[in-house]
Amino acid sequence: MHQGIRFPVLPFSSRPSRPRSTTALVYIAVCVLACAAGGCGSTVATSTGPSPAKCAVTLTAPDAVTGGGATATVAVATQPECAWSASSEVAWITGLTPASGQGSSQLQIRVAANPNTSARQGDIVVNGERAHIRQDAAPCRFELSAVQQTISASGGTGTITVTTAAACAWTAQSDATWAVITTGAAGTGTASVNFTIAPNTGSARTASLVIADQMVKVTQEAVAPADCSYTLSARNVSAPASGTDASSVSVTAPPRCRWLATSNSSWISVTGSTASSGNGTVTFSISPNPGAARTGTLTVADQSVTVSQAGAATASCSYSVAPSSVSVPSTGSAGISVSVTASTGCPWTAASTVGWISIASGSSGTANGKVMFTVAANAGAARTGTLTVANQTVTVNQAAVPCSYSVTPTNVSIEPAGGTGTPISVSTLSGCAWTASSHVSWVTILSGASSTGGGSVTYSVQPNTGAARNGTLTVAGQTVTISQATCTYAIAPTSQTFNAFGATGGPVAVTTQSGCAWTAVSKASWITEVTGSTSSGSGTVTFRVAANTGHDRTGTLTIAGLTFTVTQKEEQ
Amino acid sequence: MIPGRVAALLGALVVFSAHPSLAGAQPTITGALSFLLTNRSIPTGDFARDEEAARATLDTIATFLRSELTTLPVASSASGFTYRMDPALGGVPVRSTTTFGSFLTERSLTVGRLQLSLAASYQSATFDRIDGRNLRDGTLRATASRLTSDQAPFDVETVTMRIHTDTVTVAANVGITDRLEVGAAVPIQRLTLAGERVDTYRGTPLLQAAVAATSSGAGDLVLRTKLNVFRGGAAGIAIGGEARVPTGSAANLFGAGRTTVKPRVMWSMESDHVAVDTNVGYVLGGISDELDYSAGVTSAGTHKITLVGELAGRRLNSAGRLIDVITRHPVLAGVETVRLSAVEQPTNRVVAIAGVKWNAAATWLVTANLARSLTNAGLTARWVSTVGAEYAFGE
Repeated sequence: MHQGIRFPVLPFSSRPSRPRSTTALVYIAVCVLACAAGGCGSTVATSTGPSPAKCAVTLTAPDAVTGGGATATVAVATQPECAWSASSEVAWITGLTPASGQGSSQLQIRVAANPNTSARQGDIVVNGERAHIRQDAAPCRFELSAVQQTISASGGTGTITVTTAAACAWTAQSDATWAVITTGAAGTGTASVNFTIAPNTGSARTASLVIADQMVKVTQEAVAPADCSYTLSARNVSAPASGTDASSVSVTAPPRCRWLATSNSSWISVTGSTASSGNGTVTFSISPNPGAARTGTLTVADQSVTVSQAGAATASCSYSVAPSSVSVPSTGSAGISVSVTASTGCPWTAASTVGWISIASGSSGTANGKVMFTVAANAGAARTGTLTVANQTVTVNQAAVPCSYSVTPTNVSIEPAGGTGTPISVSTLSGCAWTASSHVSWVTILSGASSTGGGSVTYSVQPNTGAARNGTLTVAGQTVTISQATCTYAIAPTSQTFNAFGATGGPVAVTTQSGCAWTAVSKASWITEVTGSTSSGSGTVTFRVAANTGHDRTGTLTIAGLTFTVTQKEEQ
Repeated sequence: MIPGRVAALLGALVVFSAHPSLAGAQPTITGALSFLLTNRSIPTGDFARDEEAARATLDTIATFLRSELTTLPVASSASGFTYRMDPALGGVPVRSTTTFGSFLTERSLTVGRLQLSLAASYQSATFDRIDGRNLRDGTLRATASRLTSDQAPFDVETVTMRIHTDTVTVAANVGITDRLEVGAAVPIQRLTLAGERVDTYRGTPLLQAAVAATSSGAGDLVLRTKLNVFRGGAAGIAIGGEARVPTGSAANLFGAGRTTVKPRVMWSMESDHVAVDTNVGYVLGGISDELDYSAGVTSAGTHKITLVGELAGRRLNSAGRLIDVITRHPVLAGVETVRLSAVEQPTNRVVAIAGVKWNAAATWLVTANLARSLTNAGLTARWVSTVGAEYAFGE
């Protein structure tokens, strides 16, 4: 038995050592109260740091895009784990591919043609970073007033007007010595090229004028046959100061003999045909004469016809008109007035030089007066016309009509097999630009991605192997919905019964849309020789049923995903 | 007199521990931990999963802290001097053993009828690992993103924590009869937490959050009893129980927040100078049910010095373990997200203790020991040192 060390002690309650126990209690109390004395509780201090900068994106844009438009590439550089998305801030940069991504990539963009003669700049934004896309100015385009002219054998002069932007330079050259450019061999902006054609003593001939890189064909008629003689009914014509619209000169000539009629004065206009053969009549109009008497000429069958017009005004008359220019909206305007200030007894006339400005009242008058005119609506580009009032020019500037677009059709249904859909027609005014783009991968624009004026968009649609789907195109800012159905299949009949003897089964008609593929597969060993097992579009299936030496049996074929049941009786 | 004083002292401990102004202050350590472990700066694209992982991590670390602070065995307060009535001396109490007992392992012997002992100890611990991961060198990864083609993350958020605790435990033990004793103990704790969260993006570190928190207060009050049911020769068997009352602040990790009960069995075998004690107990309630076991060998080198060697083990059923959860990024292709999270699973913790008890004067004992964890589960310190003093009201 364990005895241990024996220390006799007294029970605590009877021990006299009170001071020692008191000391221990005080010790414990001190420990217990230490916490309270030290202030039990909590203190927490926190601080936060700045958010780290991650996924910085660096963009590298192309130097410049040509004015004619093109596709370009913007390099996106970032860390491989960084996602980004791109957007264009201008309408003329489209087709961002891919529009979003992760890590470094090449961003393809499509830049539309620049319609302006000045360079322009737009931004691509990727995760807040900008890439400046600069596009060169539009290339110069030149329009000629005519690309061919006919000159009589006796020669003469001609004028071709070149219309282009102010900064566009051009030249004019002739390839024939008998066609000489007299003025306008080189120019900038809109101007005229004047040329002289020498008399032709031989057969008909042709010269080419190359103006602003475009060819103008000048044909000079052959000299008239020797027996051709021309007789004019009058070589002198008189006209009142108010002018006339019904002057004429008759030409008498053999039937083969050709002749021309041209005016040599601005106030004399040939109103009928300017070229004919044999007998004929040249009709011409004479504008009112606001000034002193004047003389002009017509050349008819190489003969000169002198037109004398009386003067309407006295020498002391002076005229002023106000305003000298008027601006009119594209919708046109009526009741526009021009005031004429003239001395008493001084006559004046007012006439329009263009068809879209018509004098409503005050086409002539004496002393002070007012001319009222109407400007027709403008269906095209901005234009300028003039009135001649009291022998002074009043300019009328009319604004262009705003571009509007009509797109048809706006909903197109496409067969499941896909293919080329109905072209989408765009109607708009000449000079109005538009674009077309697809928003789904299964529709591809074939032509008409961008154009000016009226036009059409062609596109192709990929076959649909899934559920029915809808996609959209944006054509001239309008949405065109492309709906493509899914393939549906039906078979008829759905079952066939045979006796125990072998036989050929079918035909089973398969009805589906053109281009929709299907298969026919036997699920029973005794159903063989399945024809038309792979096809597309509607078709038929035949098969061979083997002779049955046993009991009744049933087998199936799976045709276009549908079950066709074959029942064969046992031998009787 | 003695029961009255003891009752008064125990009452003071209870009142002190339950004082609302001391136990429920703001701000809290869990708030500081939450601040440190949430608000992560790596965009994983899955906020709900981030929040879930952060909360799981927070709960697990808090559980680890609580398991260290609130459920550690309390040193036996009456282990130094035990007495029994000697009929040969007319019922006079005599010391019943030559050793002063183990630190954590209870002896089957009781303090003796109407014997009172008081004890106080101070323990200091600096925790430097959590589930084997270093807390202090900046390698504890909270969240990271990496390319699937790379092992090394390009964006990683690490957490550094310096956790230190100072614990003063006061205890009292009294013998009701020669075989039955009751006691109480309360730990008074001070917890210091300093931490940083650093985001390192492609090699560039940037401090994201820093926190410094200190909290002090009383822990859960421990009430216990022991009944010696067999005492024969050199051996003895006792049964007992220990209850922990949730008087400590759960928000400051000083308390489990729930009452725990631990029935246990104690067995002792002693010779003249050597004693072996073993305990087995099972904890119900609290942060996790757990199996406690310990064994201590004590040797009375002289009649004033006892050398102690102990092993104390705990198997916590649901304390959890930290893991790295790797998921594919929900938005970014080729990117994986690694999150520090936790799973609930049983963990084993074993601590080795070596120390000495010195009978400095009369019935005063001065104690000192060093403890070292032999496992890496939970929150571990390199060394945990404890010094204390015991006084028995006996001769």
